[in-house]
Amino acid sequence: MEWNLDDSRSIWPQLREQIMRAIVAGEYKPGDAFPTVRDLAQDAGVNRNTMQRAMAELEGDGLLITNRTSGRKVTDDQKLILKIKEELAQKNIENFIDEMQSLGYTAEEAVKMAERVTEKKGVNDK
Amino acid sequence: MTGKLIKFEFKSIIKQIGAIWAAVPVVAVFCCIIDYVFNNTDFARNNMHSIGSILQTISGILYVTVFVVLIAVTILIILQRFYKGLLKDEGYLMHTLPVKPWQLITSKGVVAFVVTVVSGIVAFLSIMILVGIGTLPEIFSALADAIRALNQVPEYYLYVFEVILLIVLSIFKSIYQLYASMSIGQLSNTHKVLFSVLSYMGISFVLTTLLVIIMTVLDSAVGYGIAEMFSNMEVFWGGQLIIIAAIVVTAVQLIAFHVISERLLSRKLNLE
Amino acid sequence: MNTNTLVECKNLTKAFGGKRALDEVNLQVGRGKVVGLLGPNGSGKTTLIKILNGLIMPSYGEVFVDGSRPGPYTKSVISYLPDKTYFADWMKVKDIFDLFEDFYKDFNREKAEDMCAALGINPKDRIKSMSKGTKEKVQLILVMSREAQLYLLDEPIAGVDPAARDYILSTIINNYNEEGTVLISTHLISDIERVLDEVIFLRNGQIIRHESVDGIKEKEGKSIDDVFKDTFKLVPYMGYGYENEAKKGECSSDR
Repeated sequence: MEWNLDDSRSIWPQLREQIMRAIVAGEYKPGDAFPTVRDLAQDAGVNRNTMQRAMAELEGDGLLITNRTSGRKVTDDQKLILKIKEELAQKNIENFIDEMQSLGYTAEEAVKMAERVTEKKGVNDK
Repeated sequence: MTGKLIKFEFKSIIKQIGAIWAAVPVVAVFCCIIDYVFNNTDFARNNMHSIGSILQTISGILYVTVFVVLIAVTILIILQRFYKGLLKDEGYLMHTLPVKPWQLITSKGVVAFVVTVVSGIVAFLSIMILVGIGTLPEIFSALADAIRALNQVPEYYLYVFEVILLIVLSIFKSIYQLYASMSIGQLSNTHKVLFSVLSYMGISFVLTTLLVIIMTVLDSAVGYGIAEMFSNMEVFWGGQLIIIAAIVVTAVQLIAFHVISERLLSRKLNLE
Repeated sequence: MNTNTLVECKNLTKAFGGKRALDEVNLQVGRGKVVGLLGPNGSGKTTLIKILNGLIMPSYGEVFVDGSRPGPYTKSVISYLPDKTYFADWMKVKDIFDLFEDFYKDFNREKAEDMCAALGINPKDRIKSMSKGTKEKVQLILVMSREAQLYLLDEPIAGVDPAARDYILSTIINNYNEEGTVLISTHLISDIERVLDEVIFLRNGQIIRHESVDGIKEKEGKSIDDVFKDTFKLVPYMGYGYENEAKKGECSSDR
């Protein structure tokens, strides 16, 4: 997968976040086998301790399940995935509104503007 | 582990030195054949005299060349395997192997000894070939005479043993003097080779001086002089005294050189 | 012997002539970590590594690796990549594999051969005829084909092109023994900081910082590269009469 890491912040939270997004976006399907720490660390160009830590956090979140016999897999719990997806979406919207407010728009104006832009974009897409 | 080091050491030199070991007797045989052809066949003697002498000269020069190369390469190998192998970049490999410094030195020393002895034997053989295979029976009969003479006075077998021991020790001592000099020379940060040469000369000078001093002191300690002492002894025991003293002196030097090299390489290794 | 501390230095000091290359270094490094040994040229990185692997003796102070002083045992558990190539002219790749197989029980010959094959290096090739870059790769292969307790890598990416740099770094992080620790000395930090768990900053033979990478980033919100640049900032001469604020600050924070 694509990794986008910023060296001014700790690496493991970024890995966690990006894996989380990949699961929520369906890049890894619920119940699917998940790559090993080794493979993912190699893919991201980080050391295994760092990837291990990110995966442990994701297990804590419930997104990854470790099974003693069959290895690590993505959770079957679609509700949980949906919940995290919504949390991420909400955070994005909050960020958007914050950003617009810092430019001097009210929240309402921002939302209206967003609608206008999406309409336009939708036309363009066709 | 020392055995494995020796194996590795042999591997590192065998191609170089092996070629020369093979070349020397081959050239000697070649010289013999040329010689034989032009001296012992009437046809050649009568018709190709000038060509014969040219070929003989060329083969002679060739022999001298390979002989000199044999000596030079033998010495070079002894020096280089220690200097390059332990004190230059290759030292990073050798000194981080899980062995002790004495094992590294010993492996170099043993191989240098074997190379020296084999080179000596090769040189001797080639001379024998040149002198003529025909003389071999004479040499064997002389050897047989000597053994017969020895059997009459078996205690002289002790001498044979002691002389061989002394030769072995002397070869080792000479090699280890080179090692000790290089181990001292590498302490210099700028002129390692120069300092090695100076150390060698310095050690030789100190040893000679020491020997002279010891002899003088002994001479006066004995009172009536060492020469007088020997003339009063039986020949056998006088000889024994000399040879045992020589063995002890050589062994002490050998041990000293080993200790110097070992201490310096383990405490003061200076790879840049 | 399997305590958590793998490397321990106590008051470690090494003087060359009058100059102290290492000055009262106290250090503990655990197992299973990738540690960056960072500092400008001449700060004592190579000296520390050479003392750890027994190539030089400290002037005073003590050093332990896996509980032992440097000697045959520690050498058997340390895999060392020097900052120069150590091959002799006569050697073929095969010969050096033989040597490693003879002396290091943890050497995995098959792995080394596979890594060579992946680079198109024939074990029967003479090392002398190889390019400098290939020689360095062979050396890296030797070092990373061991299941060592401690990997000491002295400037593994100095002076190589970006493609080789990627090869070297991924070879290191994908092949080290996970119970072992990797100590990488370098002054090229931006290239390797992503693989580090801990960093040690060395200046003038003294450890001025030894901390986890996450800890530093949390505290300073900057990349290790930036923190390094701030720490070792050299202030150029700005002309006569210029009030050198940064330099004054640096001196006072020094003591």
